[in-house]
Amino acid sequence: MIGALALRGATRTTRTRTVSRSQATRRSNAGAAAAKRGRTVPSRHRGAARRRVSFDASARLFVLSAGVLATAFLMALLYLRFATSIAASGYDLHDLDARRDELVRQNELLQLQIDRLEAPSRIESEAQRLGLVKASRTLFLTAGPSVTLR
Amino acid sequence: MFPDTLPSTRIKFLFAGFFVLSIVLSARLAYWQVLRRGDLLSQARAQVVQAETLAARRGAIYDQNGRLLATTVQLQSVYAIPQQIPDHATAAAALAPLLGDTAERIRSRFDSGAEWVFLKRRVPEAVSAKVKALAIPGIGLEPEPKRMYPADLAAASALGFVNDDGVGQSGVEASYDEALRGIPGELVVERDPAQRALAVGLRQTTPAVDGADLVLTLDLAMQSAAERELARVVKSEKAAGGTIVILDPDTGAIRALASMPGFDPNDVAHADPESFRDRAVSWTYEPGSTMKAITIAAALNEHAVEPSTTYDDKGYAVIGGRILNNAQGRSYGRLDISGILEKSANAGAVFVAQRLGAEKLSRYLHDFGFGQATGVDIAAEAGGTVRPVAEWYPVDLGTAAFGQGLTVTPLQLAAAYAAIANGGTLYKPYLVQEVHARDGSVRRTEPQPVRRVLTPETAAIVREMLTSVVDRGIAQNARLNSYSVAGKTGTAQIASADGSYVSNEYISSFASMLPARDPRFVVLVVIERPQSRLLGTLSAMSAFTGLAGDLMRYARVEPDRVR
Repeated sequence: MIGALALRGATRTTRTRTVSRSQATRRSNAGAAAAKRGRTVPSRHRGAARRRVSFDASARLFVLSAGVLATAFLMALLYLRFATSIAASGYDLHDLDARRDELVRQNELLQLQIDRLEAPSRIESEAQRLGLVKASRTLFLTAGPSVTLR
Repeated sequence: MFPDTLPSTRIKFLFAGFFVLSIVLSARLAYWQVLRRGDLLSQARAQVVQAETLAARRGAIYDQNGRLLATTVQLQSVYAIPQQIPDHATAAAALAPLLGDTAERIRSRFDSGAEWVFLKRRVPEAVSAKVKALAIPGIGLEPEPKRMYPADLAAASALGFVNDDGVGQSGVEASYDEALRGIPGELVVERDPAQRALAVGLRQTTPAVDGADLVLTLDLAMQSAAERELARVVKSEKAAGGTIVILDPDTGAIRALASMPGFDPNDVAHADPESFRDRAVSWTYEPGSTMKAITIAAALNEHAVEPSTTYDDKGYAVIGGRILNNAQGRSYGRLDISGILEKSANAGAVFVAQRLGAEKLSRYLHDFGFGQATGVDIAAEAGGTVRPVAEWYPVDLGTAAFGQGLTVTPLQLAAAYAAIANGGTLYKPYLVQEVHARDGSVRRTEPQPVRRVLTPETAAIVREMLTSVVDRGIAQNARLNSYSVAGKTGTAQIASADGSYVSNEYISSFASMLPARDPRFVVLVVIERPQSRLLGTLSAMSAFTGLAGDLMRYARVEPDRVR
C-alpha cells in the first residue's frame, strides 16, 4: 500500500513537471512573438520584481512575528517582574504586620505597667514607705456672695 | 519506515496494547480529574489555604474616673516541638530555672511522645525574652490573650475573673460576659510553607467585633480606702471576713464594694474558692440591731408611733409566750423612740413592732427590698430570707423587729439605708454605669427608683434619730470631728445548722449615712466573727472612722460641723 502511494505520487510529480515544461514553452513562444512585434518584454526584471514583492512580504511577516514575539516576551518579563515585586512586597507587609503587632503588644504591656504604678494602693504604700503622713485636717475656703457675684 | 517483514499480527497486538493502555490511562485521568476533582482541589487548597479564627478582644473595665481595672493583653506562651530539639537534657536544664520548674519534669514532657506541647502558658515578658534569647531549636513562643487586673486585689470580688478560655466566671466579668466577649471573626488566607500570607493569593476576612468596654460606678480611690480599712480591721480583730459597701443614696450607684477574704484575680489558680464569693452580694446574715432603724421607720411612717411616744423599758419584752431580753440584760427605764435607737433596746424594738403589727412590718420589709434580690448587675446575687407573714409565729414579730430570724445581704441593707438617706425612695443598686460598644454607641444606666417606701418627713425624722445614735448613743465611737454621721450598730448572732445560735461568735456591723444632714454616701461595714471581746460593734466602727474621713476629703465635702 505504501509502495502504491509512492508510485502515484511519482506520477503526479512527473505530470507537474510536464505541465511546467509546456507552460515554459508557451512563455518562450509568447516572448518570441512579442520580440517580433518590436516590444521588449523585461522578463528578467519582472521576475526580480516578483521576487522583491515576495521578499518584502516575507520580511514584513518576519518582522511582525518577531515584534509580536518580542512584545509577548517583554510582557511576560514585566508580568513576572510585577508578580515577583508583589510577592516580595507581600512578605515585607507580613513582616511589618508582625512588627506592628509586637509594638502594639509592647505598648499595651507598658500601659498596663503605668496603670499598676498609678494604683492608689501602691501609691499609698509607697507614701508610707517614704514616711509621708495623712493630712490631719483640710481647710475649706468658702467664697462670699460678693466674690461669687464677681 | 517499518520493515516489510514485520508481521501484521504483532503490529495489531502492539496497537491493541497501546490502545488498551491509553484507555486505562484516560479512564484513570478522568477518574482523578473529573470524578475526584473536588477532593483533589480541596486537598490542594488545604495545603495552602488556612481558615483562622480572629479572636475578638475582650472589652476593658474602667472605674468611674476612667482608671483601668481590667484589660486583656497578649502574653507569650512557651511551647516545644520535641522532635526538633537536638538535646532534650540540655534544653530542659536551660529552661527549668526560667520557667520555675524542674529539669526532670520538663524533660519528661519532651519525652512524652507528643509532637507539640506547651511548657508554660502566658509567662511574664521578662521570662519570654530570656527564653527567646536561648534560641533553642524546637522551643518557640506563641502569643495568647491574658486578662490582667492592674489594680491587683482592688475590687476583685466585684470584678470577678475569667477562665483560661476567657469566659467570665464571677462578678461583672460573668454578668456582662456577652457584652465584654465580642464576636470572633474569620480569616481565610493562602499561606506559603513558612506560614506567610501570599500577597497575590486568596484573602477573605470577616473582621472580629471586639467586646464592649465597661465603665463602672466604682471609684478606685474609695474602693482602695475601703479595702485598706477592712483588711486592717479583719487582721487586727482576727475576723473571718467582712465587707464594706459604699452607695450613692441619690442614685443607687455603688462606689465601693470591698469583700474579705479577697483574692488576686491575676493569680486565680492559687486562690481559695471561698474567696470568690462576694460577701456584699452573695452572702447573707442576720442583720441584728441595724434592722431596728427599719422597724422604727416603718412604724413612724404608719403613725403607729410618734417620735414622742414613750415606753417603760424593763430590760425585756414578752411576746408569744417568749421573753426577749435587751443586750446584756440591761434595762433603760422610760425611753422615747429615739432613745430606743440610741440604747439599741431590743425590748423597745419589740414594743414598736407590736404597735405596727406583723402584716405591716412584713410589708415594709418587702418594700425596703428584703427577701428578694436587688437586681444588681453582679453575678450570683443572693436574695436573703424573709418568711411570709403567714408562716410567722407570734415571737417572730419581736425577733424580726431587731433583725433576727431573717437574713439579708449587706447590699440589701445598704440600699434600705440609702432609702432613708435620700428621703424615702428605694433605688436599685447598680455597678455598671456605661457600656461602650465598638460601633461608638454608649448605653448609660439611669438610676432606677424601685418604689417610695417612706415619706420625706419620716425619712428626715429617722435620719435625725440615727444622728443622735452617733452623737449621744451607742455608736459614739463612730463620731467624726468635722462631719455629722447618722448610723446604727448591729451585733448579730450567728445561726448554726441546728437552728440555735453559736455562742461567742457574732457579726459586727455599722450602717451609716454621712454627712447626716445631706447624705452623700451610705456606708455599711460588716465584720464577720471578730475575736474582740470588748464591744461587739467596735470593730465595725473602727473601720468606718478610718474610712469616713478619707472619703469626705476625697469627695471634697465641706465639713458641716465646727470642731
